[in-house]
Amino acid sequence: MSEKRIAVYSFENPDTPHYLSTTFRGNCTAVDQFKKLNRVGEGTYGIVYRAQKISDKEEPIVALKRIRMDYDNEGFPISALREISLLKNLRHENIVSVYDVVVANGLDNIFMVMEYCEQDMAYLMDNVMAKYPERQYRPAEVKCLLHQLLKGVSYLHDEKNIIHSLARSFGDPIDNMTPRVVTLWYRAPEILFGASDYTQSVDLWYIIVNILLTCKLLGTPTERVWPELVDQPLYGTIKFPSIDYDSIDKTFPDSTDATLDLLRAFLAYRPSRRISAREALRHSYFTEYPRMCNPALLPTYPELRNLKMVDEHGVKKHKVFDPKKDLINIDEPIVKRYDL
Amino acid sequence: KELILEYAHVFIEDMFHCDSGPSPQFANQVSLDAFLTNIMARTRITTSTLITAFFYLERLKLFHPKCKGSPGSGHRLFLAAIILAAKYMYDDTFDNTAWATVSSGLFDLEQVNHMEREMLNFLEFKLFIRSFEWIQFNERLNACIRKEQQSIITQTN
Repeated sequence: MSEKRIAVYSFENPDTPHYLSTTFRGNCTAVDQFKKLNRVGEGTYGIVYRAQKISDKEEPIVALKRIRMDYDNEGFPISALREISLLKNLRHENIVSVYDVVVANGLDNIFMVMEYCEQDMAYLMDNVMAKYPERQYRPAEVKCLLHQLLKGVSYLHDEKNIIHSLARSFGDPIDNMTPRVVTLWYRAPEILFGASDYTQSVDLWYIIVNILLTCKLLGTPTERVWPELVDQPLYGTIKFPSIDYDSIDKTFPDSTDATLDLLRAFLAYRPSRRISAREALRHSYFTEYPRMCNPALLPTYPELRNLKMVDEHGVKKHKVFDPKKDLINIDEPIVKRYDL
Repeated sequence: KELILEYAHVFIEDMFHCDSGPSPQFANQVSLDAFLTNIMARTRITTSTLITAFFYLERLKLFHPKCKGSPGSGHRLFLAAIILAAKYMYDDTFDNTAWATVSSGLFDLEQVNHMEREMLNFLEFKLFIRSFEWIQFNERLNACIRKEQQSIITQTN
């Protein structure tokens, strides 16, 4: 039986395809230098593992994200290609870092070595917040989280010229851009109307719609609030119910004026009127009472994704959150909280 | 035919010292110029994508100064670079099957997939271009074209 070999057509010597064993890895580190500790999740294009470099020294925990390569026809997936090359170019405390790209089995399996994050928000919301309403984030903590998110977005927009929801960067040489971008639910109105000259303002829409997912809230877009509406390519092809006024204040009756003001600023129909990440960071929402808390004072939760339990049938499953045993710092105020 | 396309094969040959003429191994191979023109005509890829591909080739040379081509390697270099440029620039672009189809019959899908991954590795996945890099590169490119034009005029006189 012949060993699986890879034909390599080197740029340096292209006419003689030579064969390498499956341990070939070009300039990259081999993934077998890492030990996988456990699986933490699965995204649209790959499985994520919690892992550690094998070494005599104490090595940091990292996340290994395996890039799904089952689309042979496509070649290297566009989304992964952009994610790697963009993230390699970014360095910010609120943006996950990519340290390296490692390979296994020739160049067939590719893993990103990334900064390990203890929690993901979706998992936390589904497994803790949804079941234990009393453990939900307090207003000061929500402000802190939103502030960190906006700091990351402001870095992308103002320093790197990147639109997050498109994973695309802007240089000078831009041809017209395709309006067929971003998961439908999150698309900003100018993209829905077929614009090809959209800007970073689409991200601010995306961030908030991601949370709200409703448009009944805003009333129908009109020329009064968005004068360029009639110039959008698909204007007139979409029929909206006629709703005269937004109902933001009725939908969120308990919110303060500053909260509603920031929300309206994020959801401005007219792209040029929508608040930028940089402006949003200075909004009074963050400084009014209760003031946003310090990131170090956010509550911590056990790393449920890493704790495996065996049920009575011997089936492995994720540990279930137990508010009595698993909460460390919510009921015992070791540190003074800003909003107490 | 656009000026930049007309000189495209010259840049690649100069940068990697690879001859565009048919190599002994591929006696009936199409010239680099014909290969390029065929790809550009069939895919209708824009000029800025073409320039991005050249930029990646220059970056490859920068990362691996000793890297040198041989007869025939220009085709691979160009194809791998233009695939990455198109994927980086466009949200909706050709898959590798399509790139194999427009490769003048030189490469199959497996080869295209492999050269793409090899190029990514050599470029260390760095496809980002800063705006000052882009401006400087375009100036160099224009200077190159002017120089080529001059030398052609000198030769004909």
